[in-house]
Amino acid sequence: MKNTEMIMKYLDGELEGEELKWFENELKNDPQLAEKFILHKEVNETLKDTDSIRFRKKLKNIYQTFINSESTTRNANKNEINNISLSIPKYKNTWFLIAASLAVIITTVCIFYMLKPKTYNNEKLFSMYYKPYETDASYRSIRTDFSLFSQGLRIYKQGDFKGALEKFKLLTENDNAFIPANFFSGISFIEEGQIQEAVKSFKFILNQNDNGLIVHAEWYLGLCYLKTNENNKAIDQFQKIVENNLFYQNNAAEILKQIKQ
Amino acid sequence: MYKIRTNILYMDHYTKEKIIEGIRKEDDKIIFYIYEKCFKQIKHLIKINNGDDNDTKDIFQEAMMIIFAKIKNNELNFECSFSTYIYSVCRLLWLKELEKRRRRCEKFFEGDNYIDVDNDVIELFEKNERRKLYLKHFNELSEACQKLLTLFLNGVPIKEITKIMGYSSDQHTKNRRYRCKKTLIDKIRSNPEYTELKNEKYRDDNEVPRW
Repeated sequence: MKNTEMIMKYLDGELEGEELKWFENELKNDPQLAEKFILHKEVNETLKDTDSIRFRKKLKNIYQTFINSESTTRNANKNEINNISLSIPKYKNTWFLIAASLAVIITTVCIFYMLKPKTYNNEKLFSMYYKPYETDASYRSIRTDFSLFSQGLRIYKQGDFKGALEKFKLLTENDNAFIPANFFSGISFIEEGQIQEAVKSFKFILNQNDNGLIVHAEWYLGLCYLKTNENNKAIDQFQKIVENNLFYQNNAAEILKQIKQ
Repeated sequence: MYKIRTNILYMDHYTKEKIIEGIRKEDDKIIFYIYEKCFKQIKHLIKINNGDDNDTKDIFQEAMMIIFAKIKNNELNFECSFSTYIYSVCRLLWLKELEKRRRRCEKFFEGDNYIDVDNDVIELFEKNERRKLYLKHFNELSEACQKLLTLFLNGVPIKEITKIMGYSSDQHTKNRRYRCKKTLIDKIRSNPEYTELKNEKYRDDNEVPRW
């Protein structure tokens, strides 16, 4: 009987008695037969594992959907390697839009039915909505001065905004176009009470094309105007967010309602 | 510091447990969410270490396959966040791939946001590589062969198979099955990639397996 036939019979449990003993002995002593046997066994396991086959297909499909949604919602960043990878969510997928829309509706309804809506002054509103940007993203770059940014970010994460500002300042002085350094400078300036400096940082980011931090810079700029009691500018800024910035849309809508009251 | 409030809507929509459960249930929504949340970081890691978009796609997919297998076997256990875990798996797989391509760069650029993952990750990766090759050749078989082998592996009785396939006798069904399986095994064994993958397995095992 040929090897393949013996292996198939063995795996089907059809070998018995002397034939079975002989085959098991051969498996121990014949590496080529052993290798073929493993192959048969693994092929069977592979074909039987329909869960994995299905899951792999699903991954392929979802990847395609993901890539399509990426290309339709964002311009590809050609200089990606020089940019910083931030795990900022893309909020243009259907689920998010549905969730965001629902949240807007729910928020609006809740506000409408509040019998005695509280009103807050700007300072109170600012303290209710402002918190320093938290990041647990990994930042990597081939920039030669990148370690300086990492140091600044580490200090920032520890809550030492003054120390972080010193590091970020060294970077922005040399290369003003280093967007993440500008962004975290902006937050650090707010923390240090230097609101006008923060405004400059965020405005700078908003003037740069297609960067992932625009969405956050818009929000923090609005909060800066709130803090400095520049209500007209704040209203314009939050209005813009309500219209175009799904990420902060709800909070901006809440703030607008409060300011207008 | 706290998470920005609006993040709750999106970033914090799924806890680690929800994500794992979602993978177990093959939930499209959760899988898409994983791509949205984690893919970019992996892409960056691979790109700055001599890889391209296709490499990212493959490594990410293999990492997901490994996680899926570990979840199914109740072997997935980690303390960190899901994104850190998948990043760590991808990092290891990419190091392995670079080694295989003999393109390991002088310096491997990486963040410090990763953990040491279990040793079985590489075993599962290699196993999946072999499985992909088996499936590739299986898909090259005739439709009749694919159907026949699938029916056998699903434990359908031979009489039933003979009837389904419209063969004249059970013996004929057995002969056809034998030929289909032999063709499949021969095709796999004649693929140089198989020799490489097999050697990798035996190299890892340090010996030819014995029973």
